[in-house]
Order: sequence, then C-alpha cells, then structure tokens
Amino acid sequence: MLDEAERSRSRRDMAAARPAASLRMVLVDDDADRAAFVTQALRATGHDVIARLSANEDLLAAVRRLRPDVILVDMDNPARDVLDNCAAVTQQVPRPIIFFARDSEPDTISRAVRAGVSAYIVDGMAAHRLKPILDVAIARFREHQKLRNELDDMRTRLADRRDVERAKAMLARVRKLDEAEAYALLRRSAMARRVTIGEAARTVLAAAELFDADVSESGGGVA
Amino acid sequence: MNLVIPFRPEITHLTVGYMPLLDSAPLLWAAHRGYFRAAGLDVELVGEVSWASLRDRLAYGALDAAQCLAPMPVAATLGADGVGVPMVTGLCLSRGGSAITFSRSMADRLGINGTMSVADSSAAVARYVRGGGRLRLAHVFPFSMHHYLLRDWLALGGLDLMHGGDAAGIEFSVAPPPQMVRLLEIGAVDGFCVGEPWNTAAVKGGLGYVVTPTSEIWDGGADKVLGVTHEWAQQFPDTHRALLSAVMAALAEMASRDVTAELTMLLHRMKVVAVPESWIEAVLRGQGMGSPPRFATGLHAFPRRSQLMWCALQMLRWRQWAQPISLSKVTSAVCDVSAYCDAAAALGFPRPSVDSVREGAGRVALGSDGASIESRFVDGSELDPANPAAYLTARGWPLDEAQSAVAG
Repeated sequence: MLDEAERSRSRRDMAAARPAASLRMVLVDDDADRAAFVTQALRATGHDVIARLSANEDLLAAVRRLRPDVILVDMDNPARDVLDNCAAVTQQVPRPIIFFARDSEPDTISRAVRAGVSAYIVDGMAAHRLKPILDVAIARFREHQKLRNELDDMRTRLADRRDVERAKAMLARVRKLDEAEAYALLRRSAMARRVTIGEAARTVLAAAELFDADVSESGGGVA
Repeated sequence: MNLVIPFRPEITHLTVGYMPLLDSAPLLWAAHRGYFRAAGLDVELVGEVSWASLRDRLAYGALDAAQCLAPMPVAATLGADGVGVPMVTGLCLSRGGSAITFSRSMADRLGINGTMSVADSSAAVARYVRGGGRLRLAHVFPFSMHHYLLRDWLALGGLDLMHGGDAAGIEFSVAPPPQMVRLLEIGAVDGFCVGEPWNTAAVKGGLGYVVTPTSEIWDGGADKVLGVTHEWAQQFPDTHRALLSAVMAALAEMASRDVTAELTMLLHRMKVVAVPESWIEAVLRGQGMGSPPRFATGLHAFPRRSQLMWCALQMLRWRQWAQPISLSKVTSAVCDVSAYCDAAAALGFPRPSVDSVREGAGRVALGSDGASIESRFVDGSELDPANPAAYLTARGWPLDEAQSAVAG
C-alpha cells in the first residue's frame, strides 16, 4: 500500500514537472454535433482529442487501448457508470483514472455539473492542468445548448405561426369574425389559461378536429 | 392523506433523484398517493440515467435527496468514490431484489441448473475457473450490493478474487441494467447480477438461467437507501425528517394492502422500465424468475450501522479503499439514527432500540417494542460489529493487517 502511494506521488511530481505538454483526451458523447463542437475547441487549446466513443462501445477495452490522460463525458450518458468502474477497479486498468473532483475546485465542479459535463483524469495529474480543459468544455457545452435551444425556439415559432394562422382562419369561419377579431379571441383565451398563443391555437385545432369528427358522424346518421 | 407530521420543513420545494428501476417504487408511490404533500413538501422527482450522475448531482446540490445504492453514502463519506462529499442516510428503501443470471451456454457448461444450491453453483464456478476457464460478469456499479454479493458468491466457492490465476480468470464489468440482456445475447458477458425485471427478461427470452437471487447469499442486506449530503441533513433537519416520514408512510401502505395492480400502472406510466406491463406485474407478484423487489417494511426500513459496516468492509476486502477505516466513525456518520427515530415516532412506528446487530445471526431483536428482523449469510458466518477485524481474518487477512485496516 505504501509502495503504491509512493509511486503515485512520484508520478504526480513527474506530471507536475512536465511543462504544459499536450494531453491526450477521449470524448464520450452520443451527440455527434456537440462532440465535434467540443473537439474543435479543445484542439484549439493545443490538446489532442484522440477519439470519440459512444455509450455502446466496450469502454474499458477502449480506455486500455487508448490510454488517455483525460476522459470527458456527457453527464447524462449511461456510460458514466462504466467509467466509474474503470476508476474503482484499478487492478483491471493499466493506468488508474479517477473522477476529477478529488483534486478540483468545488466551484469548477459545480459549474461542470450544471453544464452537464464530467471528466475523469489519470491519477496524479495536477488539477490546474485539468481546469482550463474543463473551462473550455463547460463553455462549449453551454454554447451548444444555447444554439440548440435557439434552433428549437425558431422551430416552435414557425410552428406557432402556422397553427395560429390555421386556428384564426377556422375561428373566423365558425364564429363569423374577421381575422383581427379571431386573433384577439385566441389571444384572450391564451392569456386566461396562461399558455402561449401557439398552444392555445393547437388546443382550438385539436378540439375542432374532435368536433368535426362528431359532426360528420351525426351528419352521416341523418343522411 | 391523513398524515399529521410535527415537522416544520425549512425548505418545501425538493428535487429528488431516482433511477428508473422497479425499486424506485417507494418514491413514486409517495408522490402518487400524496404523502409528500401531506408532509408539507412539494417534491419534484427526477429520473437519472446513471448512478454516477445521480451521485454527482446529489453531491453538488442539484438534487436535495436521492435513491442511492446502499454502499454509495459509505463510499462518499470515505472518499472512495473519488468525489468525497460526505453523505448520510436515514432510511432503507429496499433489501435484496437482485439476482445472478448466467447465459444458457455458460450455465450448461458449468452444469448449473435450477435446483442447485448456492454453495454448489459457486463450487462449480470455482472448478471451471481453476481448470483454466474464463468468466465475464457484469454488475451495475462499483459501489453496489450487486457487485459485492456477486463477489461474495464467487468467493464462497473458494476462489481468490484478488490474486493469481483465480483473479485473472474472471473479468468484472459494469453495464446499465437495461443493457444487460443485450450483452448476454451478443455474448459480451457470460452472466450478470442485476435487479428485476432483467433476470426474468433473460429467462423469458431463452437467453439465460437464474443462478440465485442475491437474498440467498445475504438475506438482510439493505439494497437501496434514501441519501442526502451530510451538509444538507445538518442544514435542513426538519425537511429531512418530513421527507423520511412521507416515504415511510408510503412504504407502510405498500406493505399493508395489495397495491400491485395500481403500482404496475404507475411504474408503466412513469416509463420506469421498457418491458410489457404484464412482466412488471408478474415480477411484483413474485412470479418472475429472479426475485421481486423487496420493499423495506417495518424495522427493515432502518439502515442499520452494521449493514453499512458490511459495505465498508467490502471496500477494504476488494481493495476499493486502501487506507485504514474507522468503522465506528464512518458508520455513525453515515447512519442518521435520530432522523429515522424522529420520523418513526411521528408516525407512531416502532423505533430501533439498537443501531447495530450481529449480521448473520438469524432472527435478532431490533425494535424498542421487541420486534425483530432477520439477517442470514449463506455460509452461516456472522459479522460482529464489536469485532470487525474478525470478519477480515476469516477471509484470509493476516490478523495485524486486519486490525490496522479497521482501526483508523
């Protein structure tokens, strides 16, 4: 046990003494877009992303083969448990890796957790070497999330506009209103129920669909 | 709900994490039946996809509380999990509930069949490995009862899992529970230890045989517990007690009447596991191939310090932790006895009269009202909380090493 502790200390000293050498990183992320986005940013900092792995691969074998210095992983990847096991059953991995938190600053970690990024590092690597990498990864994860939200937002807005137009036209026809009155009615209904106008429009359309179905059925009965 | 609770929660909106497994049921049931609300809490349940992420979110405050694997708060308090944010538990949610399943081809090769005793099946495995055979086994997390009981079973047959050829012959890996059956199917593993319905699924799919439910290996271990960080428990003692009493009331209701049909619908609706509803119901009724989740009833809901001590001893035994452990310090830090007792008292439930028992001693008295619980190890051994070094020496540790390992 003592031997092991000493070995790990000397490894740590060596790592600290080595001047800002490039680190070999592995990214575990099933989102190809984001992985590319993060990889690009990490490479720009002078480090090497040697592989992107997915949750479905044999990660233990990949870690053994690639021997990375750092493993960055999307926090909501089911492979997290597999990686935690690499760290815990150290006998089975040639180079022990540990969850980054042991040496890291709590602030960095809680930012990482909120951004949804986790990292595993080789035992003994100094925390100050990991921090800039994490900072880049956290920033990129956030940026990617923002871009995706904006895209979703835009899609929602487009869908809203389409549904509002349809609901407005339908209300105008059924209630014999002009377009401006139909729109005002829709907006009042949305405000009263505290939903967006897009959601109110979709509710109207869904209800109309049911209503139409009933009408056509009873109409069929009469005929 | 007629739940009158004398606690004044310091905070009322809580985010509670769970893993989508059948034994998350007590938390889902507490929400479904309004026990949280009755305790003055507004609880948002959040499903996680991995134990590691659940632990990280709990450790760094994104979750107030979470369903944890029983060894997790011990590993966290020791720092063995690499995170080292101390955690406590005041409630056991379930005991046992997992099973060991082998692929049909491996079971056939070893001559394991449904009628074989646990001792015989582990002896068969030992013969196979000693004869140069290789075995690839999956479990769910390094700090899990699944992992420890799987190893306990293998060691029962005489294998030395830490050294030489025996250790080289067995490869352990971790896989998310929903992937287990697929791994068996493609031949990536020869067997696994996992909760239901995955054992039943492997048998129904014609892919595997259940070797044994883990409750045969240790009947009495805590499987899942409700964990919070030490800091949180200190900061919000009444919230913690209110939370415990809500879940205890849910557990009591689940034990007092047949809730299977309603629970099945709830688990199905919450998309807890992607298997047919009829399988969930069969498993809950004990008609599955493995072992139904055994929700903690009565005093089984008290997370005994001796159960947590067993967990800490496994971390030493399997070298997940290489420094001396002060077992009394760690277990008293992790087990929130007063929170459990206060919550139990508020509901009029019996309180434990001691916080540790001789694990493995069979039926032992635990309640202040004389109620007892059961704890049995398959090999008839015992864990005496007053002499934990003996547990290690009985497993081949030299006396001086064992004594210094548990003396820190």
